[in-house]
Amino acid sequence: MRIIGFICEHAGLPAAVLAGERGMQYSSDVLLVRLPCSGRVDVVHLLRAFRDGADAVFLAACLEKNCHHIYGNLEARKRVDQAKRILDDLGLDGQRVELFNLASNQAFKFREAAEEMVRRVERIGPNPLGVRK
Amino acid sequence: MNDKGRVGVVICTWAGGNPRTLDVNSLAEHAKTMDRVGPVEIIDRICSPVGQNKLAAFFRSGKAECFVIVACSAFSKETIFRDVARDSGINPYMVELADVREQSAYVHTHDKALEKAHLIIEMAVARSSLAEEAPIKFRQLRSKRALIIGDGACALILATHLRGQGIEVAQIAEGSGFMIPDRLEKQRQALEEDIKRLHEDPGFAAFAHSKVTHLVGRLGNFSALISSGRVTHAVDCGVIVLANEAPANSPQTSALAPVSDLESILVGSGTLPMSIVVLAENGHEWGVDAGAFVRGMRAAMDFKNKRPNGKAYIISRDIVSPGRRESEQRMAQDMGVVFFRSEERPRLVGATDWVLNDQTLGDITIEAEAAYTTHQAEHDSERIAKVLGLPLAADGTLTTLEPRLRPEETMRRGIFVCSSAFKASPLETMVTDALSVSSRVAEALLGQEMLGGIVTKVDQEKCSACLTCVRSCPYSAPFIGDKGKAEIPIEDCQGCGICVSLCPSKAIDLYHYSDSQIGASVRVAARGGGR
Repeated sequence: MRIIGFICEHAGLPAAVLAGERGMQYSSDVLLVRLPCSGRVDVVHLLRAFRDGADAVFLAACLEKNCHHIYGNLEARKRVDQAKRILDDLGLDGQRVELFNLASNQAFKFREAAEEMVRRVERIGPNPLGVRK
Repeated sequence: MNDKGRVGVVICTWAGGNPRTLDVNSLAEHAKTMDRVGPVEIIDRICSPVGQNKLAAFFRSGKAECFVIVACSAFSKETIFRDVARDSGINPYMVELADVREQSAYVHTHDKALEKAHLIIEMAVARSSLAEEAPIKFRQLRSKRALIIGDGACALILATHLRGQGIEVAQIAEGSGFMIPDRLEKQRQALEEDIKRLHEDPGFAAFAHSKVTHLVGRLGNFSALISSGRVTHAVDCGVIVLANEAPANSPQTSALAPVSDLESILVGSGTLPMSIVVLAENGHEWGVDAGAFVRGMRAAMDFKNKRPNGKAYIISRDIVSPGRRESEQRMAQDMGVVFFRSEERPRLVGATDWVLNDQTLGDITIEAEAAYTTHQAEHDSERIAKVLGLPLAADGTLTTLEPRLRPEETMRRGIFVCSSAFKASPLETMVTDALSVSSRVAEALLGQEMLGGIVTKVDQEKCSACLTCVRSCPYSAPFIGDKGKAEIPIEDCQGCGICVSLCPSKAIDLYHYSDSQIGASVRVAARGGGR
């Protein structure tokens, strides 16, 4: 299983670091990609991840109305919704991509997000485009 | 491949976590097998002064163009490493941090952690090999004034310290001026002299009955709108410090008073109760930190001093007495202060009985005449944080950059916070706070303003002047220049990258987070290995 988590520098990253410091266990299949703001994410980034074989992709962004870059997380929400539609059209299932809003001290929400994606992949099955080694 | 051996990898011996989940030697061996990796070195504790020197030597060796530091993820470390790079003549954005400690060693078991750590390093190397030198520019600070928000003793001590260093100070008070809380009755005279001296000082300006309503700019170049009733002033300042006093009357249930009430009685002349119970908590769902615990403990000790026959109980989730505080706690125990640990927040039964849940003894009932809590409701930190553009934690408290290493810095450069702000702290805490904050402020004001780094670049060939970036930028940085194409000055760009993902012509890219860099690390992650 390969799950990619895009984390914004102001909420997702501190939450992930805190989860690490507290030793919160989550699946080791989750790999994190840092972004300056969740608004930086492009639909292309999300879709290429699936082309390259990721089973699920999630974004951890600031809480709504509390984005460091004012409305970056709302932009990210639009990108994720767009990606969901495209995945549904392709028959890959839009549930493979999700955005989670969390605060920088909510390590448990980060863990929840990671675990939720693992559960979804277990339910939907692996990405049919996956390149297995 | 032309980028063969372009990336240098430095591994911190502590990256493997403590106890060691990851073997740093095997990380190094794995790094050496990667195509793009040239020199690999293991350095003990890179963030220490000795480690920094070794890192600088590695940077200067000229064996690699870009670097991956495999270490932990304390964000403060990244700035340390970037500073070392800059001092060694390397563009700071050619340095990439691979966090294998918090993202792998701490959260996964042995084999899985190693496998994931290899991938994390591979992702960082893939990113790093595509790094470009980010543009960096230095500018003199436009304003060297410090703006203090707050009217309590904390703000007063800080203002005195800053003026002592010759820094121009402006203060914003919600009330008529500085206010001295009851618990500092003993020091009132000295503090009032400070106030008098400040008001005679031409380098000090006070705005009474005022609030900050808007803030733009960055370190060395802030511009704040201050509304004082009907008048609005625009004040330029270099740094901003939050030093609010806790509210005088916190909303509490009548049975549970703030511990500041007890402190007032202890210093003043009120009647002391015969028995007290102090809930040491910091307001985060029955959590406790050293500050809250020690404050409650000291109040209980003072109580026992004044009333040796009285009963004093402290209830908290944990016993938090680090360092020398441990002997202080021992002393409190010898004096007869009784400490209880309770899994849940004690509940009040009847008028004076508190029921707590001890880990070993089970439910215990304690009778006490008066009950106090160390938690005090925050000031309107939420409103202030929104105006200043600071991120808040979920419970409405301020997030600091690095709570242990740099507690006085907020997530926005140039805005500092006294750790005693919004809390009712003892005087010595406020003095230490003021000292540390004023040295940070002086340090920040001494330097130059660094511009650039993670900023956008516009490919003028591709730009179709569609105005998408102009409309979407939260900071109104882009504009259409003389050539009829979009321009984004590095002075104004905050590096969020919103315009980059929106640009329909793909004419904009972001240094350090370019599409190719993000794509490269995603590819490695999705394929489970890049080769």
